[in-house]
Amino acid sequence: MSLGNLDLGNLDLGFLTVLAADAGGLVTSGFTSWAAWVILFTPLLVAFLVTAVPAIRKNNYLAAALSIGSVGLGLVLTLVVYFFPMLSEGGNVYEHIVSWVAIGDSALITFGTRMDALAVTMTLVVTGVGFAIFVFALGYMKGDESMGRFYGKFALFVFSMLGIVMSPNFFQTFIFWELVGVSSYLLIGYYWKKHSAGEAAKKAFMTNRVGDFGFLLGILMVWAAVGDATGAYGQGLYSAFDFTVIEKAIAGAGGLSELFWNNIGFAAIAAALIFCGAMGKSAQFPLHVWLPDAMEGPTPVSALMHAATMVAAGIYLVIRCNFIFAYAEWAPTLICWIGGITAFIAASMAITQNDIKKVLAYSTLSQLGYMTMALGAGAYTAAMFHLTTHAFFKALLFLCAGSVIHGCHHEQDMLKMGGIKKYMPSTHKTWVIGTLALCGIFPLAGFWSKDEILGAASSNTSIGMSATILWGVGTLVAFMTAFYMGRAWFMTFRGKYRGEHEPHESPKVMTIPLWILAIFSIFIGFVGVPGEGNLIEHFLHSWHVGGPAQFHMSVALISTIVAILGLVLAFKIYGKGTGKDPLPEKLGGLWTLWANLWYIDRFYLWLVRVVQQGIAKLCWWFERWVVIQGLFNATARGTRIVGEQVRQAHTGRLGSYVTSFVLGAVIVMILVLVQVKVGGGS
Amino acid sequence: MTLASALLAPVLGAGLAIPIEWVIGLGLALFSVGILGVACRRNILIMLLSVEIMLNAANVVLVGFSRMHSEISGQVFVFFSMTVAAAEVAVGLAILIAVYRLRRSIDADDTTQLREIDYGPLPPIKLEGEPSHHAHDDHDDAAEPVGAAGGA
Amino acid sequence: MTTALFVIFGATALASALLAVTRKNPVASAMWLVMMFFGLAGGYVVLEAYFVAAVQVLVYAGAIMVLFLFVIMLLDLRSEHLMEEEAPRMPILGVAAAVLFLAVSGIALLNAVDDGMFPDAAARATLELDGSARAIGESLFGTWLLAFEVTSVLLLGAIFGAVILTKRRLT
Repeated sequence: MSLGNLDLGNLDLGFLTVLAADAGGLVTSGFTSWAAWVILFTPLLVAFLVTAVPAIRKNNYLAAALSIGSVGLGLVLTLVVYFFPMLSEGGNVYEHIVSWVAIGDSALITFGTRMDALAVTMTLVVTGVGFAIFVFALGYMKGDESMGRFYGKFALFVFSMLGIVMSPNFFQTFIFWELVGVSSYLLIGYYWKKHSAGEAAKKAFMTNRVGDFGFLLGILMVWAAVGDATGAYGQGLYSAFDFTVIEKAIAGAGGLSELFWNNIGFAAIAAALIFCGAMGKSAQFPLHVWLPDAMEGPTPVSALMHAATMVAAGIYLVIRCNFIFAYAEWAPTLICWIGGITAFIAASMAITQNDIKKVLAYSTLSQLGYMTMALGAGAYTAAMFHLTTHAFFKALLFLCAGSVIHGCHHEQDMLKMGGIKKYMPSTHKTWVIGTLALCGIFPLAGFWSKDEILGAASSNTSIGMSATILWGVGTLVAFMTAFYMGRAWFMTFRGKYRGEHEPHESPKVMTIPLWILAIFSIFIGFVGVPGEGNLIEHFLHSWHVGGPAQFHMSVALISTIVAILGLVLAFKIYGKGTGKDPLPEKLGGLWTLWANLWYIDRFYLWLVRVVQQGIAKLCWWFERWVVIQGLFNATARGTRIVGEQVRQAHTGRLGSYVTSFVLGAVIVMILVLVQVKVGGGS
Repeated sequence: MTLASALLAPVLGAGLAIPIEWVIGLGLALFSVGILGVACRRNILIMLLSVEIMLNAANVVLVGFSRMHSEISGQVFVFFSMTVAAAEVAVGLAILIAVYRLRRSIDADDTTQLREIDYGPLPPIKLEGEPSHHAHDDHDDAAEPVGAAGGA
Repeated sequence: MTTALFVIFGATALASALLAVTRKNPVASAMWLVMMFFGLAGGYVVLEAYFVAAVQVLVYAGAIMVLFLFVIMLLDLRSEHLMEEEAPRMPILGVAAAVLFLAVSGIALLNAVDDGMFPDAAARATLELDGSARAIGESLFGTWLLAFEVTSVLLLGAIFGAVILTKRRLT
């Protein structure tokens, strides 16, 4: 198929008409089109004010109020301007795009906001959960002298995250992708006096960079292919980076591979590279190593970024450009398996952890694995549904953990807790709600979303036998999830208190956000009840592939039973709350493997110490002996030798100068003579 | 007709009998002699004299071409050339006197101050990065990644 | 007849120049140079450049040579001091430069003769040029007046230069 004959529909004419015909309605002017800018840039303004104006930074509560206000404004605006009109009117798309960088006719980069149902859902999660956590942090960070700095960075994170969510094109996504990485780095290293916090921040940043590099390559591949196919890298306000343009081009060509000079397999590579970015941010195997270490940050940070929103960015990205993955040959299968592997190994690691935050961190990894599995199976709404419910109950669990840590005088080791139920009743109740929601007990949030994913995984016919295996893995992970959550629950809250200082219940400013999140954790699942009234499928219909999600009685029954079994088993082992862990002896070698995190971190360390250092040594050798000694020093010596010889001619004597002058003139005369003789021909 | 041409008319006859190339050849030969003097002699006086020879060689050629093209301007240029020669001699001799006063010598090879100062043999090159010893301990102590052994 | 005269004058000038360049004593060199000037003056007369010949004798042999001799006397060098001259450092190279120049320019000249650039005897017989003072004066103060005036500036500069260089005490 030659590109010249490529019929891309109305691509070359006006994008606006094409898009308007597709969407329920495209709004590009008026208040609704640019209200998103307010939502996006208010947190940045606050971050700037807090960071740059010392008077605000030093006034902890003013800084906190500004940050909370900016997120609250975002939440209210999103609800009023976008969410409710969308619910009543259907799939409107609100767009406000400006030309940013135009390099002649060769490339165009735009900047703007695009609010569609997916972006609105994600914005609600970010601002809603963010608002609760911002309020909670008021209590948690009390007494921290640099609270202003904390809130400044927090606001910067919200800005970056919203930038990804509202981005209409790959280029802007990548910029905010990196900004999220930076704010994550800043917040993980918030306790900069702790050496481990600094190390964790660096580890998170560099691991993310690995993924981001692949992401950038993927973006450029897609950009080049689409730009080639449409014959233009930018037209009007729509460039080849734009999601809408890429989607049109792929749909018009009947597949991404068709754009790549008809080269089958490139599409899968491009999609896999883009997934690399998601792998870094969403901490999928093998780039998952940074997330548990990221718990070095303050607990509200862990709750918002490393549980609810930032790690969901990868999932969001894949959903956002699902049209690339839909035509990407083997890429979805790869994604499915990566999700399954991540879910399983993370759950196994979570069982061996004694740090309450680490348990939740590995649990997050495991749940992200679930979402990735759903993405691979093409169940984008299921992934988005689980992302939303998970954001609420995982944020809840993290805040509970934060409350516990706060109450136990910054103790994180579960072996030194126990019996806290008595001292912290509100925290206990909300923790139980969160745990049950995570384990997927009917009718809490996790039940509906996890069930939908497992159902999608089991009915993913395109990958044959793998579907059954992955469903098995998913079910096993459900069992393990219930087990380690039960383990954490009973070790922390039951039995007798084993610490030294008496724990105390947290203040109202912390427990109220807990209750708000708990209520959401109970009820948010009902937006995705399978059948006619499936709100989330209806709301995100543009991203829904296939028919409405079915309620798989067998799948639901089995996963619920294994979850209850897991909780019961955990109760049997840890219910008495003795503070002893009998599991290491019982599991033996398996425990060692899990406790050592499958030796993956060790392997990376070996990579750095042996392979990377070896290459570095080789480079050092090359630089020393070939570059410096061979090139620089030899050049210096050679120059000097030549110079010492040539300066002999510099005698300072008149006679020799005249001689050389005449000889030079003679040479010129000879040349002229020869030229006249040869060239003149006379 | 001037007096001189009237006197010489019987000798010279009409037109020009001498081949122009001979005149040019004489000029070239004189110029070479001038080069010889400037390049080989060390006495500044003789060098100045040689420059005069070279200027005269140019004058000969100018007069020769003036005759060949029947154009008086060539001879006018001889006057300019003489003027330049006079000026050059005046300044050159003044410099000669100044140099003689300073050094009590009119040997051109004694005045070589304009070349770079001879510092004698240069010190041996000592460059950065000569691999004489291991400058750094390359076993950088990479810190144990956080959590590598967490929970163990 | 005239050709013979020119050969005699030219040979005299060339021989005198060679002698002037090779003498050890600068006074002898200057004397031989005077001889060369006279030889060239004779050559100019044969070329019918009478005024140039007269000025050659007056300015070169008269003024410039006197200046040279005057300076030699002024320096008050004893003759042995004057003649104290070591052999040049690289005489071969100097001679080679001169010979090479002569050879290359000679080849160029012969080339030009071969190409018929110079008029032959018949063509030369028609060449007439008035080399009198009147003709030169008309050209000098007509066509070349500006150059003539500029020359005066050059001479003024030379006078200043000579005076300053010789007057100021150099240390």
